[in-house]
Amino acid sequence: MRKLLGVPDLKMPARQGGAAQPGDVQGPVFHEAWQAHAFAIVMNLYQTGQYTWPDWDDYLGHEIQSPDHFPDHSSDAAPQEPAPDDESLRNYNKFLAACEADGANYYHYWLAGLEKMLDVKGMVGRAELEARIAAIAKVEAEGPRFQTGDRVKALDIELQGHSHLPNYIRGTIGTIEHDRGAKVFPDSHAHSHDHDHEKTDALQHVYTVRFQATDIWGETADARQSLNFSLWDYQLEAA
Amino acid sequence: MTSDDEVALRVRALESLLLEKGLVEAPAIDEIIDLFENRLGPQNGARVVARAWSDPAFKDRLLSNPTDAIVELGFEAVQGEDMVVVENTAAVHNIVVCTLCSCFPWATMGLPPVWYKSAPYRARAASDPRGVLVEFGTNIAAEAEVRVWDSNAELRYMVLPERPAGTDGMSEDELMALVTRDSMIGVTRALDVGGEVAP
Repeated sequence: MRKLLGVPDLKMPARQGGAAQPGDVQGPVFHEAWQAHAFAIVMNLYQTGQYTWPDWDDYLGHEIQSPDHFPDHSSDAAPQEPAPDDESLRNYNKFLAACEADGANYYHYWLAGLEKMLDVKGMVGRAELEARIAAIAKVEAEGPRFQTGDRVKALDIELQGHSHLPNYIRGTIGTIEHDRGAKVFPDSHAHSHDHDHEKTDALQHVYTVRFQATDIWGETADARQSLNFSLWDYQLEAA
Repeated sequence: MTSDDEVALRVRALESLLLEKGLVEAPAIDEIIDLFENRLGPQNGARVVARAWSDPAFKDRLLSNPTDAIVELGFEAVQGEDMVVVENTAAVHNIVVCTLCSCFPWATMGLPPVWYKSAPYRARAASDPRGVLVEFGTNIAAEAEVRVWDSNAELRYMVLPERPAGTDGMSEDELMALVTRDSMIGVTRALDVGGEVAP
């Protein structure tokens, strides 16, 4: 791994007190969390040797020089700064305001350059990215189907490719112990035999489900024993 | 949904794919963000400038071999680029711009301010640097030369501002407090002894 840089004490605790970041007296280094992440992704890919820095500079420079990004959202994006009129900019405040308006687009250019570079270099394709965006948007719009405490039944279904649903809990009723959040399904190309259900989305919630031993093995089992499984949303139905 | 929400979603989607492919790692992402938010910044460059003001031998090394001199203080280039340090004097005023994009000496100055990355600054610093300096409140003597330095991926420039008058007895730490990010870009002077932006 490439050395990112040497600073005297890498274990130095982060500065406390928030608002006044050292990087920019006008405010924090990153105004939005997404800006920080877009930035850090580029740095991490560079660190691990995925490209050279001048290579990245070409992608970023290209975007900054020809800023026609995110055409679908042009209506609600920050207004494009018109070409500076030198006379009207003879005023410091106006000048700085114009700079702020244009500079605010910087991380949009950054992201556009990153997306293009990942596509060109075969790391993340355009279609792959759009599909993931759609999957995340869908699962977040729907929210989790079950809450902690809900009673659920483990379905008796099988997916081609992946199934981590043990036979002995199929058809058994258990309780949602914890919603682990939306996760990426390991093989979203697998198809359910049950075509009525779209249960193989790329992203779905994973729940920890608790089954009482007596519900699985019968009345002779130890009533003080439970079995807990992490199950995908598609493997469950409300009981 | 605002534009920022949509862009945030794009970044999350991209990051999730890269994480799955093993191309990025979550702890590394967190480390990088912490580094740039908390540990890199103009305080590093201010240390370099204050040392140069206090130690003539260091200043000589800084001007003749800037990359190594800066490493002496523990600040190494982020992308392996070479540093160039240009000294402001009464006769020559230096100002730094990246006309192509936003190249900036991260190790000594952190990430560039918003205005540095903007089209108006990038255009006007190159075409009308004296006008830009006036807008930043910096008056350059008519007979002085203004030199504009265009950063790129291989070379990053840092201005060594003039040491303010009346600071002879000050310690290196006291001097550091007078060195601003803008003064190391060259759009302003270092602060005067009263802590004010000098015209």
